[in-house]
Amino acid sequence: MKDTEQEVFKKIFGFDPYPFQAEVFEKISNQKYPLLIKAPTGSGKTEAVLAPFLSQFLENKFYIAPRLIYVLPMRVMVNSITQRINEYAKRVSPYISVKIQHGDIPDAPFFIADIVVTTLDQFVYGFARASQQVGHHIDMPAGAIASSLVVFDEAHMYRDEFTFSIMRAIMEILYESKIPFVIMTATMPESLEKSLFENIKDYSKIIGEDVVSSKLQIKICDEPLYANNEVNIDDELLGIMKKKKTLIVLNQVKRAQKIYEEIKKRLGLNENQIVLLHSRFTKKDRERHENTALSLIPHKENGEVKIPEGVGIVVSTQVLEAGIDFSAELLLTEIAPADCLVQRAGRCARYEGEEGEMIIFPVEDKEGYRPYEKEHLDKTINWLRERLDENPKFNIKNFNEVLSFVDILDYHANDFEAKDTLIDLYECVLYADTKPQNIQVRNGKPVTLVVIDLSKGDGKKKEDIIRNSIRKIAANLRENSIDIDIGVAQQLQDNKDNKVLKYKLKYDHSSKNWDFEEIREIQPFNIYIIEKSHYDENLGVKNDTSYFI
Amino acid sequence: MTHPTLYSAPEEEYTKHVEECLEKFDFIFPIWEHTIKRIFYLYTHNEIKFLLSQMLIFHDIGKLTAKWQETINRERKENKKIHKPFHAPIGAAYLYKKFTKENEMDDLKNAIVFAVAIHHTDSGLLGDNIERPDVQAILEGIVDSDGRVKWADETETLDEEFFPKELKELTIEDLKNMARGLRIWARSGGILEQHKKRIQAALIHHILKLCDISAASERKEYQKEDDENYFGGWLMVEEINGYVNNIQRRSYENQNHNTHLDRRY
Repeated sequence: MKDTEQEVFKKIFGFDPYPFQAEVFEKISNQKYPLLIKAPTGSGKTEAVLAPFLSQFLENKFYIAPRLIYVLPMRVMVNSITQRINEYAKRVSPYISVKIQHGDIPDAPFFIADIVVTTLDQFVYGFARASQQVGHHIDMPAGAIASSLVVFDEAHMYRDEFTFSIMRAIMEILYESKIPFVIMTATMPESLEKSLFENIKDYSKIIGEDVVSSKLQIKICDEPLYANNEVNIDDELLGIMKKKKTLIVLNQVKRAQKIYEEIKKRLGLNENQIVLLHSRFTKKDRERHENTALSLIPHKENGEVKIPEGVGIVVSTQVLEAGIDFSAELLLTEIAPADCLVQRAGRCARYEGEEGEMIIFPVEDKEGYRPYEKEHLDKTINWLRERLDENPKFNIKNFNEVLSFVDILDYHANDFEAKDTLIDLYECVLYADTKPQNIQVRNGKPVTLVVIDLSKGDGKKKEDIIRNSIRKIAANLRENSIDIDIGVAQQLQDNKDNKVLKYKLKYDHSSKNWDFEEIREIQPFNIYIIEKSHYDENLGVKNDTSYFI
Repeated sequence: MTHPTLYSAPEEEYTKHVEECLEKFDFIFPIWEHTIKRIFYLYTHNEIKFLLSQMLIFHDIGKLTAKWQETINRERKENKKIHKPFHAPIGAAYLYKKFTKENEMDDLKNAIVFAVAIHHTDSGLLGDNIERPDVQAILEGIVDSDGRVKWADETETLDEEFFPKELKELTIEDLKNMARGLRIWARSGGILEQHKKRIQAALIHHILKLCDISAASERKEYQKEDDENYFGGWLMVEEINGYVNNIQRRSYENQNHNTHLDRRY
């Protein structure tokens, strides 16, 4: 006899499903696709889709699909979700394979496993025969996709119109091809939902509920935290930061670096009391800083909340909106679009019964609003002011409030871009590209920087010293690298007096060694050397004034 | 039935490989059946398993040409890799001819033929396999002056199940028809319709590869040589073997569980 959803949840997770999880189970089991799930972060969306999928293995009847491809927007989120999924899968059978496929852990380029956790980029490259890792077996990933239940988690985080358009094209292909898929989000505005599903009329929607009760008091300040090259934090606020576990979120790397340096200096703190997080650190340093951040702010260990002693301040950019599970007492944040603010609020007073404070600061004039649209920031702050006037007890932690808050945003896919993508994706199929240069997932294109101390090499000639320095680090290239948007690299290159990037790294297949060549311009998909003098392990890349996330 | 002198790889008997493919398919099909029915919208049809087993029986039939067997025997004797003539489009052409006799389940049949045609190249709609297999057949000496496929003499002693007599009638005209038919099928309709057909072909191609590779994993060419060839073919073989082994283990586990339950009740 078939297990009920209660029995399946008990067997796999050890708890009864929440009403929305039971509803998801029912829809997926009855093959009601596509499905959109809107539910708060941490409410158990992953478990909701895993339960019906894994129940197939319990019954040995595969009425949904033999495979699950779980797509996330960022690499940083993949590992922890995979670990969770793996634990659940092992409770069902030791013979269910769970693999990761992304740039740093390319363990399943063909998507051949029972469950594959991957990023949107890898998913699209696999679909479009553009994966570089599959040799000439370029059609295998598409076959894997054809036989899967595809879940797009945290779908609100794809952010820009270009990626929304790719999403829309992919969704339409999956829909037309009868491949079951689920879109999951905590903060997708209705405008984006309408745009993504414009040509998919018969989708099902399930709204989740709060599973944690906590409060966050909001205050809006009149002055920016940083303006005209000056940090604006008064002594009173500094005093509070010394007592409360504090998270500060800035919208640009440059501003985060300045705030970090200023607070560290004025409070006389060391690297074990304050830490900086952003996307311009090497993988090695970023991992170290994330561990430090976790050690400074209350977080859960084996289900218990652990509160660290002493001062704890984390300064970050929006990179923190995903992945780190901790709960600050005080959140200082620059104004950001409503959905981003909700994600940031999710890192403060996160656990049951907690109460916290969120102080929102405007950003400086001119280019201060970037990387967001000025219109989105204005709409957000105006809505918040009005709402707080109406109801000073407005709680951003309440999911019903969140739904109305994010709906003020007008996000949408671009029709033209989405149609063009459908054609691009088909051309990739026809002409069998083997490099992802003709299909892209982000508006920008990526390049990689590798931090190398070029003075450390042996040799007499300058070229030999550089070559030798590169070879000394060759084994650790990945952990010393930084993946960035090409715009960041171009900005670092724009300074005529002090060009930060001078050399490109290249692999010499005949000698099987890394070598270098001088560069004139930055090109996408290439690897460049950034000299150690332009990088600080606590601050990241220096003199980066770009606004790319 | 095994045939001692026809080979599909230097150390692999042809019929043994086909039988092993069918054995793997028996494990794979039950868990993929519903998905195939959904993708092709064939919920009420019961011949799906039969059609897919035809794909597995005939996917390598092109290896039974006189030229291919002659080359593999030289390869075995000289113990070195020698360029062999193409074989995938021959199986595709035979299945296309066989399938087009009835006008049912067109999408599934075309996807099967497509999968067989590209099962060694993965080169989609482009490339000689589908664009001009007839020319290739002449250039590679697979057909005689009348355009008929020249089969190895040993095929005379093969069972009808593995080598039906209609195969002797296969000509370059059939190769041409297959190529034309697939082009029309794959490229007709709007852009989303074309994507759908691509997905259909990719699904069937995937099943063929799962069975074909897991049945041939002992082949030397599928063994890892060094870390440089980590990606591509070698990794795919490892991924497929791990995946198919898991399906088999789960199936045994399930059988044991059910036997255990039967004994209890």
